[in-house]
Amino acid sequence: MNDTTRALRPAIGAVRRSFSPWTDPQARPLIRFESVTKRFGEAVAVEDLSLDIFEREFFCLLGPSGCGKTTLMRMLAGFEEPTAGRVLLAGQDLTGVPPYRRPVNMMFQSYALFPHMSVADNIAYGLKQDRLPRGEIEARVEEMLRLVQLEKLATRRPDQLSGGQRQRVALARALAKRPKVLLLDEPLGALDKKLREETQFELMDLQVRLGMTFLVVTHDQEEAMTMSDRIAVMDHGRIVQVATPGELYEQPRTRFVAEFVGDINILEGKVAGMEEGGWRVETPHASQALTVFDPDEVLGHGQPVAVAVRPEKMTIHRQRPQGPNVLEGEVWDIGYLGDWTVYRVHLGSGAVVRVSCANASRFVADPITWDERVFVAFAPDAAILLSR
Amino acid sequence: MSRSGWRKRLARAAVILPPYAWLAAFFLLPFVIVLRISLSDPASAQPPYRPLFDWTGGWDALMAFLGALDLENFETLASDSLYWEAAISSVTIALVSTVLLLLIGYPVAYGMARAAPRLRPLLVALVILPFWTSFLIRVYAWIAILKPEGLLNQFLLALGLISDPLTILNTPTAVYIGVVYAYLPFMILPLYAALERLDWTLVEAAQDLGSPPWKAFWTVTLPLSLPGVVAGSLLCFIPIVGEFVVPDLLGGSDTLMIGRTLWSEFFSNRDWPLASAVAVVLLLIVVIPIVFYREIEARRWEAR
Repeated sequence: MNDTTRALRPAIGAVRRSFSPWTDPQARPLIRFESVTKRFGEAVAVEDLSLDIFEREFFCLLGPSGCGKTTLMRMLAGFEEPTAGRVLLAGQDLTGVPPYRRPVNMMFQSYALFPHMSVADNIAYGLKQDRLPRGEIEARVEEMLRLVQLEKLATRRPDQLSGGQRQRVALARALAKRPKVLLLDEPLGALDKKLREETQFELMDLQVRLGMTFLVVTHDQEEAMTMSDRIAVMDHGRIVQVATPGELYEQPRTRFVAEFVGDINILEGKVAGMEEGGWRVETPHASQALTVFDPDEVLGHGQPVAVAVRPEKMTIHRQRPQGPNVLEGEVWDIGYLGDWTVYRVHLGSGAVVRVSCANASRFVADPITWDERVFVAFAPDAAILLSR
Repeated sequence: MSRSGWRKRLARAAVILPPYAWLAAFFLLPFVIVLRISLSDPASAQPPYRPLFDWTGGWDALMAFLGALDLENFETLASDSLYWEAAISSVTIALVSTVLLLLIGYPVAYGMARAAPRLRPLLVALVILPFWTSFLIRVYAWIAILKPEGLLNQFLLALGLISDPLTILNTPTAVYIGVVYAYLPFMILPLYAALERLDWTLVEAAQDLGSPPWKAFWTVTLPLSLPGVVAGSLLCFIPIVGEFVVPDLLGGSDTLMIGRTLWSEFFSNRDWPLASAVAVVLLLIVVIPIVFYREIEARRWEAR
């Protein structure tokens, strides 16, 4: 990362914090998927899906493989036509517009660099198709090479580059035409962990600096959480939830989202009533009914429901703590991760819950150890109720 | 040098030697014999050329033998326009046929490479299938198709497209039909091999960057399949230059090809030395594109 991007950091943060066009009813979306369905023969890849994406958004399509996220992106690029519904870009219906006439560019998962062309020729390819004057093409290629810091490698061929360098060339090539939307298909999938983390931040800087709309397809929830303004979680061709990373993590709407994004403990139970603004849930995993404050859910008495708690929102104790929501069990396994320690606690009911504790100090005199009898507790507002 | 070092060298020689020995015995030696005959004079004797080498004569006999060799036959070839025309006509027919083969073979190979993966082995088998029948029989079959009362003319007459039978057999057209038919698999297979390996997301990338399909083909697919184009063209061009069977069976007396000239010098005129000279010239014509190809290959490897 160079000095200019570092200098831009605080400003970027400020821009990001105040950016939420999706809450503004006056805002017009840049991209609109309107009840889009895509079938391949019998198989349904995308089913009756509607989605709005706004200008300058960093938007992620997140889901397991085969959930239809790549098909959705390819419909925007023009490689697939919807079976039903339509895709709009800046208010214009894209139906029947071939890929080479759409003002969007894609960075392919495999990068798809032309092996018979140099780095500079790869970047210039799209500009040549627009028949720009030669001087302008050269200037733009120069600018792009500077942007991705590959000035010295302009004459190299793709097979002479490292994985990270190839990724930058692919990015520069897709950005060179200044598309309205940049599509990134698993942009960091082929990089190793360290490089992936660095590149995440570089992509975010770049997106704000260029003022572009980025649409990213990924199956990696960490990647999606780090980079996105909003995330759409997809499953079986449908969108399950569209939300900011924070909302997605703290207020998942379904079990699928809760389990796909981050780690979570699920305790099955039945609604036993309402008391002082909190739901009472009877569960075989605890001796007393659990109390959960979740105003979003409207539930009936006796309805099956799951109490979901993130591992870091649970605490582990030797003595039974005061207050509600205490589970009892035995330490089954301990994972020391440096910043966190994860305890797997075997409850009397047979279920296993994960509790993670931040390692705030370097030495603990008498740490909790294997096979110890422990109590796990969580606050009523730390849990979520999931009925779907 | 240590003992094991010698052993290693010996083992390496044992591996390298057989192919060289094979080439020396079945290519270099026959070529030297042909070259030697091409420098001799014809004679009504057995064998039909002079001088013969007298193994018992010692040094003087060897010098006399070498002194009797000359380039007379090559001078004859150079001065007689018949041989020039035969050579030029052979190269022309080979060039035109190669272009026709490319024009027909490329779309076929492209279609095969874009077919569903489970269909591809079947399509390859279909391309190779004609090899199950003798080449000679397949060329004879074309006589039956192309002759004035043949299948093609009967078909066209029945359709009412023509009122008189077309004369195709014994014309250059028949030679082109026969050659293109016979060599098509040799063009399709290398092209298919190159196209099948092609990463089609590259074509998508080209379209994504603003290239209409034809331009994506021209700037991405074609350049990347060029090794297949070169391999297929050489595989066809080289044997077509020396082709004898097809022009002999399908071409008329006005179709001059160097392979035919060679045959008639050898069998009709019994002029072995001149026939050998023709063979040497044919080899030279064919070697040029191979050298050219090797040059391109070498440069491609350097570029890596």
